[in-house]
Amino acid sequence: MVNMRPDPSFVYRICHEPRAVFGLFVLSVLTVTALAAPWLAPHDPLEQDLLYSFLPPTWYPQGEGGYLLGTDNLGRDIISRTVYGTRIALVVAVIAASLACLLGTVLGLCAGFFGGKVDLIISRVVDIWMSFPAVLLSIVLVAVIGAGLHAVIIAIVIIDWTRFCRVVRAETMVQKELDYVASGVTIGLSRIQLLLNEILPNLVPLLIVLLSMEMGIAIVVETILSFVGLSVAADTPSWGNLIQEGRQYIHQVPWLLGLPVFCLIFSVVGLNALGDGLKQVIDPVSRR
Amino acid sequence: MTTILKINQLSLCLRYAGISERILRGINLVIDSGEVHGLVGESGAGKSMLGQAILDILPRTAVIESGTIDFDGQNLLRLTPTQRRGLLGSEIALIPQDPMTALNPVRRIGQQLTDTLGLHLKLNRKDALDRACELLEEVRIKHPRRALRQYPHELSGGMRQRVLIAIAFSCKPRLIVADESTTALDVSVQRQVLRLIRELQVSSGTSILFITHDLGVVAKICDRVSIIHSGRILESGAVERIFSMPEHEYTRALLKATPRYDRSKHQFRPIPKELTSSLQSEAREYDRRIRDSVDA
Repeated sequence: MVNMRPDPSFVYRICHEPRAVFGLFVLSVLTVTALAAPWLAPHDPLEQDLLYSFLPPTWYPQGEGGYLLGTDNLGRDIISRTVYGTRIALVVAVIAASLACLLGTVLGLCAGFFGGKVDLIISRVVDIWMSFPAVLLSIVLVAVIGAGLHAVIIAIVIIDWTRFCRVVRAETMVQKELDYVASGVTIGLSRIQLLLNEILPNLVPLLIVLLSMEMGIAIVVETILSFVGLSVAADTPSWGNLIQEGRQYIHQVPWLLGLPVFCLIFSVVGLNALGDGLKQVIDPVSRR
Repeated sequence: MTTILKINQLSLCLRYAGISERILRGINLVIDSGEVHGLVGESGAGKSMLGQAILDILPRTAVIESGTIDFDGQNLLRLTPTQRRGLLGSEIALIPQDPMTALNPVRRIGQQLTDTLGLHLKLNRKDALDRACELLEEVRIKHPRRALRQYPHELSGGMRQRVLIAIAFSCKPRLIVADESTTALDVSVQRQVLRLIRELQVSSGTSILFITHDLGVVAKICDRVSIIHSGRILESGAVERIFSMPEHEYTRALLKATPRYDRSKHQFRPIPKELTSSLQSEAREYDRRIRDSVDA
């Protein structure tokens, strides 16, 4: 059908996609929290006050006004630590997921488009890679590289590029058999131009979904590595460290776990929704 | 009149899993500059394969066994891939069969139209867009500025086919292969599109190889026509001559098998089975001769 209405603007379409709105909301909350951490946090996240250790949230009878969600074993403010933890979560999510996406997409495009030996080699590497248990592999990798944020990022990239590679390879193989690619050949496009001009734009909706899901996964992986003490130093506030500390006192002070776990779930759910929503908005095919 | 395309003794087969099947058997075909040459045959006759051989978009299993495809005096089969790519889109273009799938669904019409303009005419983005707009006007698309910003799914089948025609004519190529270009359209749109192709062809002087199975289409648009069956050209000639005095038995059968509104349906005869099988056995005979000559 001929659509006589002018193409509604991008912003308009995003506003009418609830998942995208929710996802963008989550992402902006995370970004603002990370950037404005010094102003948002009521206390210094590293400031210890042993007199005020294990304070319950402020609405409990023993609660203190200044510590809204209570304090941990060393008397550090839970809210402040979680707020600063957002920085680490976001940095890992953005950098690790983008790099994994880049690596996996490049290799997946090559495997799917050129086929033959290139495909054989890349696909076998992916198969072998995926046969390792991911968490175990990441722990081993971080142990080899040495603990720290950069090691966490490298580990996530090295492990998770395969997710992108597989999906991109399969989709490239589908796309390259379609008529419009043959049309591209007949107007004289080279193979690289076909790959970048014709096939890659068709993968963008897919990549956005994968990327935002991967951001969620990266946050979880960072938390796991923090939890086992292989990410940032133990006193640095990260969600994984907070959960790890909370776990030790779960029977005495269960509220330690509450906020970091909520943040984790909130961001992963939000990022997944963002991916789904943006796919709807961006993909001119699934858009009606 | 000069010859733009000369195909000489072209043979081609498909090879997969060790089995080889010959599709084209010693094709000879000459297209003069400025002529519309129809290529008519039933399904499986090899007509599309011939078009694909000219355009270098053969399936990977296809092997050209012998023959030449001379375009403007140079054998296309001898060119390097880069040289051939240089010709495609600028000198030789395609009007594809299915307008629903031949455009990239996620790129705007403007981007797809400017591909060739940037690639072969080296226009910058703004000039290319202006030219694209003119091209859309030439193929009678209303509101060309808006169409440039639209995606293929926002256009109707007929409009998409017009866009594809605009792309094919964009660099003023000397040969266009139209592979069943109007088959996917309904009859009334088909008429308009045929008239449009003919007009653009006349004004640009481009030669067209018009591949179709529809003799009605041939009568409307072609100057000369070749009849193909089992990978062999049975007969070539001017359209009026072929229609009034067909020489080959198959051509006569084909004309009788075309439903026409000015004849009663009793005059409509399907192609006799004996004729088809005798043509097929001739094709097998050809294959046998080739095999013997290779062995000897």
